[in-house]
Amino acid sequence: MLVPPRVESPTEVPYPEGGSGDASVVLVLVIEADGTVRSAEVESGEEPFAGAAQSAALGWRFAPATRDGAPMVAKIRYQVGFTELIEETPAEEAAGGAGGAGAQPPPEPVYIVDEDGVIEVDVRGLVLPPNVSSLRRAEVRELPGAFGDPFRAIEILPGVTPIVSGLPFFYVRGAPPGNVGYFLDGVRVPYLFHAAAGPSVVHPALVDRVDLYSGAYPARHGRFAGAVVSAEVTEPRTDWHGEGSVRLVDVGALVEGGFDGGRGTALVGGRYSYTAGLFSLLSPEISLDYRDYQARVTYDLDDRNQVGLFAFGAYDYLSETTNDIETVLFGAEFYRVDARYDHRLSGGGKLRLASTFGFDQTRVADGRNTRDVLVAQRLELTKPLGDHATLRAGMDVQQDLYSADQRRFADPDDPDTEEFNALFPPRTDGALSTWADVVWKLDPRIEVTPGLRLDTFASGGAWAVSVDPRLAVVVDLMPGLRLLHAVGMAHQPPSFVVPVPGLAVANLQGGLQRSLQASAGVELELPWSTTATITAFDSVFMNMTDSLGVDPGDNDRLTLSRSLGYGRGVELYLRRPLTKRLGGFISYTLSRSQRSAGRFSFPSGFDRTHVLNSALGYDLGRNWRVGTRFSLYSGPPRIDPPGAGSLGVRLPVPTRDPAFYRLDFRLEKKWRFDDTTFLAFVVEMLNATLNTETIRGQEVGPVSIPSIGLEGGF
Amino acid sequence: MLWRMLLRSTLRLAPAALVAAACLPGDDRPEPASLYVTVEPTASTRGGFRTIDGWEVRFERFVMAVGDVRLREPIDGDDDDASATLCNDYAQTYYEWLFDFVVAEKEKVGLAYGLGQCRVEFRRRGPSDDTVLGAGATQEDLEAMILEGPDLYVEEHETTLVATGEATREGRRVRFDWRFRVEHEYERCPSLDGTSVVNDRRLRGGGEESLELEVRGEELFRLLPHDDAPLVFDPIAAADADGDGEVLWPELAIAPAEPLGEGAEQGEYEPPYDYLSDPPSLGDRIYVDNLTRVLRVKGGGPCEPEESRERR
Repeated sequence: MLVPPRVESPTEVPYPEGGSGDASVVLVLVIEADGTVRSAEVESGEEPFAGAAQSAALGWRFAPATRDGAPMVAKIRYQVGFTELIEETPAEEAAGGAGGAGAQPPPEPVYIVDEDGVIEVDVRGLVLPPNVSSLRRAEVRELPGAFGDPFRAIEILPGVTPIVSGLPFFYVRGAPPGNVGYFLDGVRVPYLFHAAAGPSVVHPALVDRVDLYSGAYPARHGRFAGAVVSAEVTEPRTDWHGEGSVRLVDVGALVEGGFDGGRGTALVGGRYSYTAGLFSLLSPEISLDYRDYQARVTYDLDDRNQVGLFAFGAYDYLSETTNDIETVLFGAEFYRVDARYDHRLSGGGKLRLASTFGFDQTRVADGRNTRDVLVAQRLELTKPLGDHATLRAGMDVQQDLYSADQRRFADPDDPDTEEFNALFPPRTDGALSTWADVVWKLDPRIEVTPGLRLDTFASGGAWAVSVDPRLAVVVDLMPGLRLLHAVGMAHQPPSFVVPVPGLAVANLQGGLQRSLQASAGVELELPWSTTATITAFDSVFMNMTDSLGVDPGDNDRLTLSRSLGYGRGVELYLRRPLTKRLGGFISYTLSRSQRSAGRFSFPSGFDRTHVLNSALGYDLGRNWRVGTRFSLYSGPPRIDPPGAGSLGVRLPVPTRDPAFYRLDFRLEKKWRFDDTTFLAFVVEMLNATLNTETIRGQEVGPVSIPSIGLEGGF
Repeated sequence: MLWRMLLRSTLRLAPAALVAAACLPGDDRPEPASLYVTVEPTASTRGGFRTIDGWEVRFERFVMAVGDVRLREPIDGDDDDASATLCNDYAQTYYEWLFDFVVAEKEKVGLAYGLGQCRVEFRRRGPSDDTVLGAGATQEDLEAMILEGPDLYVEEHETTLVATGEATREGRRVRFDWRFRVEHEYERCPSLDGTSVVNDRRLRGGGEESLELEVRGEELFRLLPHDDAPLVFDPIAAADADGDGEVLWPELAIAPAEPLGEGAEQGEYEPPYDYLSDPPSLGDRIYVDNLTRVLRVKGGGPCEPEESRERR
């Protein structure tokens, strides 16, 4: 197994005399087996920055690259960013580095060549396809109100419209929560957060990046007609490292290291809440408990073949005890075991064969549990086709065995019983998918990715086939200016209001949901490491089961209305990495989400015309960092016309609830003991202003989440 | 061969191991008691009655939806048993039956389950998609009543009661065809003497409890909103301003009602919601005062309803 070099010494480069403005230099470094830099060649960049970076790089120290645990010579590309500090001159301590500029931390390395004992590592930023917003953990760590959880940061991305502030259920470009799929390292998971509003179900240190595919996603993703949230986990590492946290409500830790001379890696992590104990002091009749775990083992069979096992799960439990009888108010759990075999192809590219086993369970009303035992296999191939094209293809098959407890105590005449049993009967669901796309460089400046996805769905005795063509185009008009266009279709079986573990609508009742999603965007790199993206999107939804968006609030949740709809709008995303001394972003979405049911057309139940998120983080010096975030949502439509009766109606031009805003803040003091070991004290609060939100005329909240704790790593 | 065996074993054992590792408990609560709720009309509702002023009143139809049986904690202060435990609700009902109480007999309203000291709440409501047709009610009734609309008292609501019939005296015949759109949620139903609550039940494990409700159509014709007040029709007949033999709501809305001050318990009575007229009209007496009295626990006094606009 190959492990790339890792920086061990500071890589800040003093801002050169005679320079002005921001600049970027790419160096090609050859790193000796002892970690010293043998040579540094300038691949791109202007003077005086190039010379400054080159001479500084010769003094850097690296942990050497290893193959099967043995140190080796390596060649890497390394990007050094220079930022002119004019308005933001820090009153910092001398050791803080700098005087002017520093090297940007390298993005995740990507292997591209393996030859003659020298590995080449490309550290240029990943070029993301259109319609993807990506959040890296290093940046999310600094985001106020996200509590260091990459998943929690999704709500700041453009196109994301929350149902209620602080709750992680949202519309994405007009697509309802039931049409948003969650994946962790390619494995579908039913939910991302403990007890709905709690921390994420995966230790943050395991998550390298979270991608939000807002529509017209690559062919790899399917079976969801709205959006896909895909978390990529960190690459296995052979050096022992770890992270831990102790907070008011929970404790978490993650440790990883190598064995057998670096051929194998092992990781264990998890989080455990002691809220049950806390609640028992404050309110003995309430019990709240959550926990999650992750474990991963990889082993290199040889240079090209690796096997691995990735297991994770989460558990949530909320109950109330009355008369010494404990009644479960909310209970959910899911577990996954994913066994993989990875093969690096001789001509470049890779192949993954994986089998997934899973178990989901949820407590629904009347003391019943619903559950799903799933078995899935998938095959994923990435294969270069010459110098200008890469084939990505795969297939997967999945089987879900759904079952539900019968109502032990129920009125047999209650239509709810019959409706529930009809909607969620015990049965086996199946899905078979094949997909392929080609990332094709037509020209150094034009990249086209045509793709096709075929899905077959079966549930009970019903079955359906869908064909989803996709197309993405990226055009580099000039340095720093890029066009991003995408269009694609997606299909999905009927879905429930929100994703619930072990609960899925049966028999493809009413047919598949369909969407046609398109977007056109411009990405502009601005001075001071700032990037601006403007995207216009238009999504058309057909045969949707969007109960939240269509039905009056008092309608029966077991009735699935079908509707047409669209989501149209413009997104603006202006950002400067929060990892910089002064970083921040502005994310604004202007949109309209419309639904049609029968003869009526009206705004979707959670259509919010304006959604604004902004954040600012500043390094105060002496390892103090402070950040604040401002969120503003315009109000959703109300259902009832004033003075209406019990069954409300949705009007074409409804009155709306008032707008909502909130402020989050974060304060961190970090102590660094060496390059990797640190301890941090973090105080954070979501909705520090304790604002309440009005939904359908009802005041909600304030949903405010405080957090105070210690974080550490080595 | 070994690989194949390993694969086969893994495919079988892995899901089983995951299921075995699950932590969420099943429903391990102790056996509850069942509570069977029924409703039946009074003989007057089914067969008619004679008013104190000599009218023979007979309903042709008395169509109403009853249901939504809920178990709640007894309200503080109502519980006369200091050792009573709280209420564990196991299963409630979320639907209603639509009956024509002119032909209905003793009918089921719902079957609930629970433990402890529970207050049994129920509703007189408009029909919904979950309405089950009971004795005498037709699909046409349901489709007509489920349509929302206004009346003098409610801006937009389904029809919760259709009461049609006629009164005769000495050859004179006066018809009434009244639709009511307000619905009531009954939370507290006192005994006849008002000293206790009759819709509380102590539910013990494995027990079978019942609650009998009663539909009293004749209550619409009370002179005053208390049980000792006589049933009358003269004021209604007198409200037939156009003399067409049918008394409509606009006519009732301008006809005078017997002042409350003449009632035996006038000092204790509070109308459940506002009258349209001041002093209250005959329409107010029927719609606001008397309508609430139509459904109650059998053998008990009139319940104290909440005007309910929300559905579950």
